[in-house]
Amino acid sequence: MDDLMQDLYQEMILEHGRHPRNFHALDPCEAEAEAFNPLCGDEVHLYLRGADSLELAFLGESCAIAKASASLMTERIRGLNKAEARVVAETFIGLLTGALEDSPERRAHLLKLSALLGVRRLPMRVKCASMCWHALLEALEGLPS
Amino acid sequence: MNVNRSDFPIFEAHPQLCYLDSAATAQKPRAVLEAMFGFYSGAYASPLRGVYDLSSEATTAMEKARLRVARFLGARSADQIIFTKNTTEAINLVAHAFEGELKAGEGVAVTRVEHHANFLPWQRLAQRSDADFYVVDCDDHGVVHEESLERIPEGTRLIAHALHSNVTGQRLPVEDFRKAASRLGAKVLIDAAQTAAHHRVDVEALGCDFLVFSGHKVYAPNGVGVLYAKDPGVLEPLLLGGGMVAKVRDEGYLPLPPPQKLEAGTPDLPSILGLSRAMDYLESIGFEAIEAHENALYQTLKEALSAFEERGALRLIGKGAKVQGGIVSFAPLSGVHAHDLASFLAARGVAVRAGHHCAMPLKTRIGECATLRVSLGIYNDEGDIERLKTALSDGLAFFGRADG
Repeated sequence: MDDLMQDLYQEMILEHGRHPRNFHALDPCEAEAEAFNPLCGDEVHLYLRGADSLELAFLGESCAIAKASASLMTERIRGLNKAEARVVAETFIGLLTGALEDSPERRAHLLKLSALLGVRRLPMRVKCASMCWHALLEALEGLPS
Repeated sequence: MNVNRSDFPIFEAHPQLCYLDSAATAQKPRAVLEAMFGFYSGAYASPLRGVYDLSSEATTAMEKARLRVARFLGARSADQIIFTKNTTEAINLVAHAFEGELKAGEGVAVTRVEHHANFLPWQRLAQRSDADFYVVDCDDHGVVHEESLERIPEGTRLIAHALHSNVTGQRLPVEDFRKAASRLGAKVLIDAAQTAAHHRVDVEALGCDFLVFSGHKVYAPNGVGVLYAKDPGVLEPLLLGGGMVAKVRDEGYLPLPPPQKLEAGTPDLPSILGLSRAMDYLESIGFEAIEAHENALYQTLKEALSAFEERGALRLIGKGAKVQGGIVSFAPLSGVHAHDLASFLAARGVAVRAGHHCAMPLKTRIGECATLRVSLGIYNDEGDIERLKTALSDGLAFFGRADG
């Protein structure tokens, strides 16, 4: 029972949840997107700029998993271009929701994000980890090319 | 061990379940499940449709159930009881009756603590009618005070309010609502969704025009709700179809009288019979015994959570309410989020609700995005509170373990 909790809430996730990186607005900002979790009312607001070398920041009231996911996302995506960012986002969402089968090749895209895949054992919490990534996909669409 | 617990098969299937989410939905006693199984396996047919014995017996069973509900609520006549899908549908049905009825300068009033089901239909009605939508405010703790009712504006045609808040467990000052309504000449709708399983509800004593609740929160099946209407003649059908008409022509239709007029489509008779049996079950235990048991448990729960609050671990919602019971909501402090804590409790087999509890206007008002809610049912006992305490204590320590 508590093993599940230890696995889900690894030190790194709790630490990012408490001290999220890039937790602020971005000015100037070229694209924004918001995502909500209707279950709990949590929200994330994502700020994006720089199509060839992305910069990201976010704000929003949310649980440790959602905050850690967004914080780790900003670190993982920073410096990538749009196409690369999309591949990481789609791979992460796919592995998280089970739409994509787990494989070493796919895991290679995730790096530290793999720690978040423990959430798969709690289906009700998958949305917490995925919502910022949906916001990223939406913001990428809105980014001028 | 609670004597009622053995009546609920869920605790045989899950002996370790610590179920503290009865305000969301209540578990079902064997008697209710047997009533449904008995009907499906030994008496099933559509009521009001066929001339054969099974159908006519189904019709009789349905009307007996209606009478049963009327008796449960102290209603004068079974014709005042309309079966709906749930509380939400019942409220929408009443709101529908006011479509086109509100004039400029008129409006409807609700409270800040309403469930979305008793907020949105009225908000939409007011917007569509270009009428006023007045929200009776609560204080910073989420408590509604009777003084606030004095500010409900003239021209208010209907006041809709919960009898018990689904977040704070406050019993709203129903007498004061009635006085305000009579001062304004407004009708009153009472949402008894959080009341009907825990206290005797007497529509005559309450003096309301409409009262609604859901079967699934009173240990009855999903899929059936109840609308009591003092004068069902004022209501207009939300749905049109079979079972509600006397005559249909190309140019129009002649409806049956209420309640049939308001119950288009094949009724969910198995659930209605389950509801009737649930009422037998509750009354066989007796509301005095239910209140005694749940009030004692509520005091234990409140003391346990207050001890956490004194240590600065959480904030209790609803402080200062004069009458309160059955439900305690709280927000964990020091950076712990309700959703994370609820997952920790879930891993220990403790089922509570986390989130906005379908009451976002209240959550915004008290400045808490998500809270945890613990709610009681007749099957809970001291052991459940003990388990909650331990899990809560460990959970808070767990999430506090990082750098603080």
